[in-house]
Amino acid sequence: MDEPRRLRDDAESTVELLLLEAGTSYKSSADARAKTLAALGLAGTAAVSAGAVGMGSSLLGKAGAGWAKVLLISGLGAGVMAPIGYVTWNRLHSHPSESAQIATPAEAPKMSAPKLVAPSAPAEAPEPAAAEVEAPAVVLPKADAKTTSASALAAEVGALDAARAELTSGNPTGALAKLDEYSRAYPHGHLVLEAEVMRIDALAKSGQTGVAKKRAEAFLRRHPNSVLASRVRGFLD
Amino acid sequence: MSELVVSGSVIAQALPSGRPTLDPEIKSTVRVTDREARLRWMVDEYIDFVARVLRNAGTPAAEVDDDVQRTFIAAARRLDDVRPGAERSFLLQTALYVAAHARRTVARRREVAAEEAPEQVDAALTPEQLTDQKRARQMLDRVLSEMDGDLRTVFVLYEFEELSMAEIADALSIPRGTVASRLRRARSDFRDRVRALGGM
Repeated sequence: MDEPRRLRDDAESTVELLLLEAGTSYKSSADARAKTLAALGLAGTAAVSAGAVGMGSSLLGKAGAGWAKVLLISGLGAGVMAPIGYVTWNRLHSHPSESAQIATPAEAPKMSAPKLVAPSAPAEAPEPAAAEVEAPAVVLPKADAKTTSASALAAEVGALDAARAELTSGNPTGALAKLDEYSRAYPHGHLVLEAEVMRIDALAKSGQTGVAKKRAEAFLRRHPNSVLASRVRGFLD
Repeated sequence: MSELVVSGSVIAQALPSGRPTLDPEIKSTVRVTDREARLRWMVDEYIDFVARVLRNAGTPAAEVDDDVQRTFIAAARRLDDVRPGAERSFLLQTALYVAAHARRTVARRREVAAEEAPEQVDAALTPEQLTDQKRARQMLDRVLSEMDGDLRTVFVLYEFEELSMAEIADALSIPRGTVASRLRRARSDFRDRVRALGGM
């Protein structure tokens, strides 16, 4: 196939070149990686009992099961889309009142890159209802949380890593102590929800199942659509 | 709602050959570890790529972090279906899907943003005015948002991601001839709009 030179190599004006460079030079934000790993349950924070079968089944696989709203998109062609509503943890942090429905592709041919619907496809989806997200009871980060530097976030992740290390080495009491330290150091932290989930896990493992259950139920009441909710449900099962 | 089945055989195929046989219990741990390692690798390797695709496909700057997470969460759910070596292609398709959906849900907010946009393009822009990166990005957003969606997608994949036309055809499931004609029209359209911006 005849491949023309990229416009950038053939720009006809400086304005054009600057616009093209703006398009190619875009980078993810400083804390996008930490946020993404946390959302995947891969940050130090979230690898709660790694024994669970990864995020594939424990965090995400069951995600749709108990959720208030499941948005079905029809008419997208051969690959049936079964989107699942969820709220990313940081959305809960930063936009607690916004609509948080999201569609993710769920079905595709095995063992091949799925043929998803390109933006060009005239896919019409029903308007998602606004997610009924209650104001989180856990202390939220301040409004300027987005300005937090990556290193500050890294320190926060490190503090939760310390708690997780205790937990995975079979010392839930030590983990609870570390979590107390975390809460004192980061009362408005980015990862307070992750910390709460780990605390529930640690409480359960330390034998305080009654307290763990109560906190898990409270978490689910406040954050029913959190990506962490399915894991919390796992503690109740 | 379908459960995501963690398929041992699929994972096994994703593993390097020659791995010693392990008892089932250990194997399950290895599987989890490998999944996590693969996901982590995908995040490290492709997070900028995913963010850029989302942004250039129309996700507003303030929404990119959220959409990056959505893309990787979708990828995590489907990880067992992603052929080793096809991660980038999978993430690309997922990101395009997420961006398309995000455009619908944030449509109202974007309309407001457009009304509030201070950029008046009546006056011809000079390169000096565009050296401010933020401004260049805003102007690019403006140009891209005025383009036809089909043309825009092909344009950004070819010009910004430097995909080949064959790769674009695969990613979008459209014939290569269609890619070629869309690209031709998209480039011409883009140039016309940029010329208008620059007052040339």
